[in-house]
This record gives sequence, structure tokens and C-alpha cells, in this order.
Amino acid sequence: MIDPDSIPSDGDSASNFSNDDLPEDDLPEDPRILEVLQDYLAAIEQGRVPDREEYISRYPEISAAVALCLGGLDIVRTNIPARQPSPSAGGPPADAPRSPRNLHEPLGDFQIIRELARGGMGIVYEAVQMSLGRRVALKVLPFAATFDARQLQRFKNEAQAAALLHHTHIVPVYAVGCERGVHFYAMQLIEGHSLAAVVRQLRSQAGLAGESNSAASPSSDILGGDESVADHPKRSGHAGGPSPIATKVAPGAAMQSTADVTASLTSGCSLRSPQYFRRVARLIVQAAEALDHAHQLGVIHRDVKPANLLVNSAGNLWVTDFGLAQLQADNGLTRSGDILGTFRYMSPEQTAGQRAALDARTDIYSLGATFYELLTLEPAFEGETRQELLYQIVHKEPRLPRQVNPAIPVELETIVLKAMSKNRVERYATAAEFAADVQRFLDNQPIQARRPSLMDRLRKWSRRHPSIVVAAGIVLVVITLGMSISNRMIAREQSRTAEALVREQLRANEAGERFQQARQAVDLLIQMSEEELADVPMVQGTRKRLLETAVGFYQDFIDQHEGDPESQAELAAVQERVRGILRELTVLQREMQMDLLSNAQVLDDLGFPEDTREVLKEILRNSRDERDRVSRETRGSDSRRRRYVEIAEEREQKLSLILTDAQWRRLRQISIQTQGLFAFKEPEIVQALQLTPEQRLAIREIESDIFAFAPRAPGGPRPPPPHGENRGRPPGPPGPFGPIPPPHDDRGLRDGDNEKWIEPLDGFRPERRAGGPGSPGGPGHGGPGPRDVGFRIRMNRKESVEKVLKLLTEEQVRRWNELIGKPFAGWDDRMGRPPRP
Amino acid sequence: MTSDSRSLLDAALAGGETARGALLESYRPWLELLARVEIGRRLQTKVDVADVVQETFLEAYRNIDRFRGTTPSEFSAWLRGILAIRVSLLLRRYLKTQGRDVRREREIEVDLDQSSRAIDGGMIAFQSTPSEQAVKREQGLLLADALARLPDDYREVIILRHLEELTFPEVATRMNRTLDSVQKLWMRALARLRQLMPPG
Repeated sequence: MIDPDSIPSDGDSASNFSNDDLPEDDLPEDPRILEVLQDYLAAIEQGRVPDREEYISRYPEISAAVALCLGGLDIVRTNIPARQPSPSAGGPPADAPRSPRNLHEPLGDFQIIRELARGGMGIVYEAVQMSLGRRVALKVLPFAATFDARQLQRFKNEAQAAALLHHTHIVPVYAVGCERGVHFYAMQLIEGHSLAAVVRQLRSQAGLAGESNSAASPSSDILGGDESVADHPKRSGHAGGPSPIATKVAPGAAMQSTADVTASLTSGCSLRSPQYFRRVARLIVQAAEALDHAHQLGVIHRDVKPANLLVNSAGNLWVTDFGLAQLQADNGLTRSGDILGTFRYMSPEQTAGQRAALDARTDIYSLGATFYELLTLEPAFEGETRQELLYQIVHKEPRLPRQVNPAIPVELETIVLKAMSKNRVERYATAAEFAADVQRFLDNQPIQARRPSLMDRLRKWSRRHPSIVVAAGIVLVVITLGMSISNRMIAREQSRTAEALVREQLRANEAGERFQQARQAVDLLIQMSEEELADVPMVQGTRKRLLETAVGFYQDFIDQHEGDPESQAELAAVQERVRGILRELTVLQREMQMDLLSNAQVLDDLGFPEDTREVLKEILRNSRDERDRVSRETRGSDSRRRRYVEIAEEREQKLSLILTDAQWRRLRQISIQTQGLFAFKEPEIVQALQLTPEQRLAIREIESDIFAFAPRAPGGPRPPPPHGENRGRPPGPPGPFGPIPPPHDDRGLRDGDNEKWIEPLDGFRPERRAGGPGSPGGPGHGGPGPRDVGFRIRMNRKESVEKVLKLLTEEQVRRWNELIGKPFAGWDDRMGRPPRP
Repeated sequence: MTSDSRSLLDAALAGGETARGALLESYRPWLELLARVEIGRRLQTKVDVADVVQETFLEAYRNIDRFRGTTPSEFSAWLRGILAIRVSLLLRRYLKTQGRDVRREREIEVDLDQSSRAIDGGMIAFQSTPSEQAVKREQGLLLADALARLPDDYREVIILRHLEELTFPEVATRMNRTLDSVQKLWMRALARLRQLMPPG
């Protein structure tokens, strides 16, 4: 019962109740109302999200009264969040792990006020540092208990180093400590938003999928800056009412940035406005300067991403969470979202888990990826799983920013791509350089970054044009091989596409990164060999040579890592894998020889008796059918290759019963002749002829002359450049990272009249393609399809081989003639291919 | 009341006498609530806060030219600063201590800031966007208004239970009532509050 005295008369607040006076007995006397209310409140205070309807409908006869009371309770609890994290107050979802701590008890000098945010690195609380009476953001590492002493020590070292950083754009760390087994990290409380929130906001405003559309707009304040009035006519105060935010805004922006700018700045048109990109660029400059400061003091952030860049409404940026990534890497986090959030911005070398090898340039990459996302509002890599992301980061080029949004200034695209280079040598060497280049853009000065190197462009381009990948592969191999030879055997390298790259390579090596660089180069070698060349019959000799070179390098690496069994084991594992590929390759190469047996003229040359030809044909047909079946039905290039090897071995066994030793030898000779110039790439032949590095270099020159790569103008064929001129020499001013292509051009190699051109290996059939004009598909400027490249072959097999022979000594020529035997008579075209069966 | 607080602020800053009065008046329930929570936490007794808020208003009115901000949130922060000094002086009177205690003032200021954040919905710094914050502050002022319009005992029980976060037995002790009556009071207070707040 309610004590009648306890119910106040309305008398003392009568004036307040003039309109809302209520009857006193609007609530029925029923103890069950209180019971339901108490249960509901208890559920809330335990951090659950109770189902309101369920409580209301518990006792239907009093549901109206319960609903009324619950309504009041909801008003109170949504406006006055309990100190225990309460879901309704914008805290974590109900199923999020709850903080195990009693928040009322101080952590050392810090009294926790409330939870602000949760992330992979722990929970951020607002707290008061009692000795100084200041508000701080307190980051508590909830999983500290799972660390061992060594990891904790490293965390402390890192955090202490981070605490020494004093920079306008770094969130100051006030203290690092441990109380009651809880590790924490106190820093300045920034009244702002992370760039991750800004991007979410901008995305929803731009109508991009994936984000709920809230009425609010941190971005408009943050990016509003001093330029937002003029270019955003859609601005309006639609949200009504004031929008008090705690921080001051820039002069000039004050009139509109808080109260009445809501969703304005980032309406569709603004995302294409130059001002938007300039604002983003300013933020990146601040972040890069902050990182540079840290780098100079030897602190690498390791987890630069939008979520770790805080921005306030005045457009000032703070980098936060220095040193915490260290822990994250060690601790198998279970919250997949957090991992992905972090992985998305990881540099390729970071995904490889080489912690020791990380340097400042990993942060430069991650800031580049952040920049990318701010410009395009798309993550650079969109993989949904860890595996996907890792693959993309290591192997895929991000979509060109200007393909996502053509309004992005080309300079910024160039800067982003440079910062995000897979090879860190190609990135900015320091964050200061990064900042300076973006600043140059802001100052309307020419930037220093160049378009990605020819190498990168080749790789990107070959992926965009799968049908030309093979020919691209050949050029790449020329370049890559040149690079490896330079390192390993020769120092001379002139007027070649690879020159700039090699210089970079050598310079980097001198900078004390020999191993990393070399290994990267060798891995690239393997990768090119396996990704680009594995399925191309004509270049298997090259591929083999690449792989053997790689095996050799790996032997060097293993030798260099004496005393480091872990690295040695890892290196040896790679070496063994490459050897395995080589063994398979040998089998497949012999298979190519055997394929020659399907040619009648070859059989004539071998003096193959007519009566066994049918048996031979049967064997060849069977294995061909089998191979076709495998290529149709077997998925995965590895397993396909294994099956091919099996088929080849089986066939070789059958054929060995039919062919004599002499016939095998002759087949080998014909095979060498068939390969023409490519034969000089075969390791056996290089060995047999004892080719010198200089000779091999010269052979490569001839090789590059074979392919006259020339663009086809829209209206028809373009004349090839005069023979001997400009061969293999890139046009345009040679930048440090290769030739500078004209801006706005993403069509691969079309850099100018003198550029090399490549086309599908199909083009090896000169009867169909030589000369370029009129070939199927024709030329076209319209799109970056394989159609707009042409390919011509300048020399036939005979000429090119004769050119090579002129380079050889008498002794070498003699050996060559032994190797090839008498000329095979069956050629029917000037390229020297045997007729098709 | 608050939906036009921005324009009210602009008018007050521009020098409008009426606007100044109206502006300050619109913060009264909110400031009284803050003062009530702040003093109640320290003195564990019921204190009339009207004087403290009135003093705060006088001071604000006289010194409004010194206010350097432009937004309602800056203005409310400024008011909180003045209130902190007033509350500190009041506490000194009650606790019979001597001299001005800067540290306590600072502490109260911090506390007030937190309380206002609590009333305004909290989670401001990280979780919400400026206009969400606006909505929450708006809600905070509305709630303060509604609480002010509740009968004293109703208001008291909600403040003690939800702002000071006392348990029901503690609330009962403080209000010098039985547990049962306090709980029923609470129930009625919630129902009344719901009726006072705009729907939604």
C-alpha cells in the first residue's frame, strides 16, 4: 500500500501541472506491476536487452499500466545510462563480452566513468585521472591475462616509446600501467570521430550500400573546413535544432558547420568536388607528419587504419594507438571483424608475418590504403575473409581510384598508388616525403611521385588482359631475368627497361636490405614463372631457367642464414617446392618433344616405319584425349599440372618401347630447332654451349628485337618503329621507377609510338597475325581490352638464330651444330614451326 | 523551449535582453537537476538548489559578454563552469570549511560535465555523430524539464535511483520511507514521467 502521505499533492508544483494534470489513481493497485518493472530493470542492469513486449504481455490485464511504467523507465534509462555498460546507451550489442571489472573501483589513478567504445584492442573508457582532475580516454586491454611475460614486456616497451611521442597530431599517451591485473593505457580524450566513422557516414550519404543512413554527419563538420559553404548548395538545416558539439570549429565554418550543416557537405556532388579531395589530402598530410615524427624516434605504428585516425570538427587529426598492434599480432583475436578491420590495411610484408622486417614503410602503405579509402569511399581490397584479403593484398592491384571516381585528381591517385606499392622500395622512403608530396598537391606544385613502374604496370596490365598474359610474361621474364643476372653475375646493364629497376634494386641492397630485397626479387621470379609462364609451351625453357636461378638464390640464402635454423628450414622448404616444380617441368618438356611425333614430316625425318605409325598415333591420341579431359575436369592449376605430369610419364614409357635411342636423339635435335631462339634459354643448352653472361645479354637483345610491339592506331595499323632504333627503350622521361606514362592512361603499355607492344602468344602464327593489320578483333582505342594491342614478328626463326650464331665462338657454333644435327626439312613457314598435324 | 535554442542563443549574444532571460530560463530545469545531483552526492541530504541556480543565472547574465563560444553546447559548458563554482561555494558553507578550494571546484566541474553527459545521454565523444548528440542533448533538456515538472518526491526517487544509482533500500533510507513505499513511488513516478514526455 502506498502511504497516503507519501503521495505528494500537486499543490507544490501546481504551476507545472497546468496542462498535464493527471488523476492520481491512473495506476491500478497491483503488486505485479512492480514485479514486472523490477524484473525489467534487473535485466537492464545486468546488461541485457529485455524484450519489452514480453514484459508488457506477461499479465494481460495490467498490460496498459505496465506499458506506461516501462515507457517511463525507458525514457530514464536511455537518457541516463547506467554506469555499467548498457546496450541502450549506444554501448556494445547485448552479446558483446561484458567487462569483468567493477567500474566503480578506480584503476590506479584512474576512475572509470563510462565505456566509450570497444574494439579489437580492448575497451575504451572515459575516465578521470584523479591526481590531476582531468578527463582521459582509458584503453583497457581485456585479454592481458592471456599474454606471457615477454609479450607484456614488449607491450610496455612499445607503449612507453609511444608515450614519448609529442606531436600535434598524435594522441598524447599519459600513462601506461597495470592495476589488479588489468593493463591499461591512458591518453588524451579527443572529442571527435575516427575516419572509419567518417567513411561510413560518407558512404551512407553517397547512397552506397552497407551502411545505415543516419541523419548525422561527423564528416560534414570534419571535412567542412573553410570551404564548405560555397560548394554545397544543398546545405540545409533539415535536422532542425541545434547541434551542440563540444569543440570549436574553424573560423568561417562556425556559422554553418555545427548546427545547420548536417548531411550537406557530402551529398553526391560534393564527393566529386575538388574541395573534398583537398580536405582529405590535408588530413593525410597531418597523419603522415605524425607518423614521420614517430618513425624518427624509431616507433612504427603497425596498425594505421581509418579507425585509428581521429578527427575533430575543426579538421584536426590525431593518430592513436601507437604500439598496440604489437600485441594484436601476438594475440589470436577471436573477433573476426576486428581482424579484418586490421588486415584490410596491412602491407604485403606485414601479411607475411615478418615482424622483424617491418619498417616505417609498412605504415606508409597502410596510410596509403587509408587515403585510398577516403578518396574512393571503397576499401582498396574488399575481401570478406582473411584468406581472400591476404591473397588480394599480396597479389592484386587495387582498382585504380579514378576508375572508382573519375573526379579524383590524378596526382592524388598517383600518390596513393605509390604509397601502396607492393614492393616497399617503390613507396615513399619516409612519411615526410609522403606528406611533402601531398602538400605539393595542395600547393598546386608538381608532385614527385611517378606512375607505377613499368614492371607494375606490366603485371597489372597482364592481369587485365588475360589473353596477352603470356606475351607479357615473356617481357617480364626478360626484365626479371635481367635483374637477377645483374645481381648475381653481371654488373653491366644499359639502356634497358629494367635499368631503373635494377638501379633501385641495387640501391636498396646497399641500404642494407640485401636479403629482403633479393628474396623478394627471387620470389617474384618464382611467382612470374608459375603464374604467367606455367602454361606457355614456348617459354618452358625460360621458365626452367628462372626456377633454377631461384633454386640457386635460395641456396645462397640458406648459406647466408647459417646459425638460424628456423629461417633455413623455411628457405629450404621453398627451395624444395621449386625443385619439385622443376622435376615436373623436365617431364613436361620432354612431352613437348614427344608432341612433335604427331607431325608426319618429323616421323619421315626419323625414318619411322609406316606400320608402327598407327600404334604411335593411337598412343598420342589417347594421351591427348586424357589431357583434354584433365583440362576440362580438373580444377586448380596445381592438381592439373600433376595430372599432366602423370600422363606425360605414362606416355613416355609407352613411346620408349617404340622409339630407338637414335630416334630419341634426333627428336631432341628437331625439338631444339623448333624452339629457335628460345632454345638458347634452355639451361641444358646454355650449359652445353658455355654461354657467357655477355652473350646471354646479347641474345636477349635479339630476342627483344623479334617482337616488334607497336600500337595500332584506331584507324588502322601503325608503322613499326624503324628497326634498330629505340628498341626496348621506353619512351618519355625515365623516372626513377620507370618511364612516365602520360596521365589518364591506364591502358597498359601504350605509352607512345616507340613503346613495345605485346600480343597473345596466338600471334606466334605469323600467317594469321604478322603485320598486325586486319587481325581479328582489330584495333580499338575504346577500352583496355586485348584488342587494342598488336604484335608483329620482325624476324623469322632462321634470321634470329643466325644472328645469335654470329655472337658465338667457333667452338660454340660447332657444339650448336652438334646439338641440332642436320636441318629439319619440314618447316613450312618462316617462323620455323612445324606444320600443324 | 529548446528547439529554437540556437536562435535564442544567437539573439542573446547579439544583445537582446529578453532573449538573454529566455535563454537562461530554458536551462533552468537542466541546471537544477545537475546541481541537485552534484550536491546530493556530496551532502547526502536534500538541499534547495534553486538559490544556487539563481546565483548561476545572475553571474551568467552579468558576464555573458565574456562568453566566447557560439554554439549551445559551448554555452551549456560555460554555464556548467559557473555552476561548479557556485556549488563549490555552497558546499563550503555546508561543510564549514575555509577558503576557496580550487581542487574541489575543478572536481565538481569534471563531475558536472559527466553528469550532464549522463543526462544528455552519454556516449557523446565516440559513439555518436554531432546531430545525434544534438538529439541527445535535446532529450537531456527535455528530461530535465519533465523531471522538474514532477512532484518533488517523484523526482527525488528517480534522481536517487537512476542518477545517483542508489539501491532501493538506500533510496528508502535517504528519503526516510519504507522500501515498499519507495518502490511504489518509483513506479508512479515512471508512469507520470512517461505522460509528461512527448511521445516517441
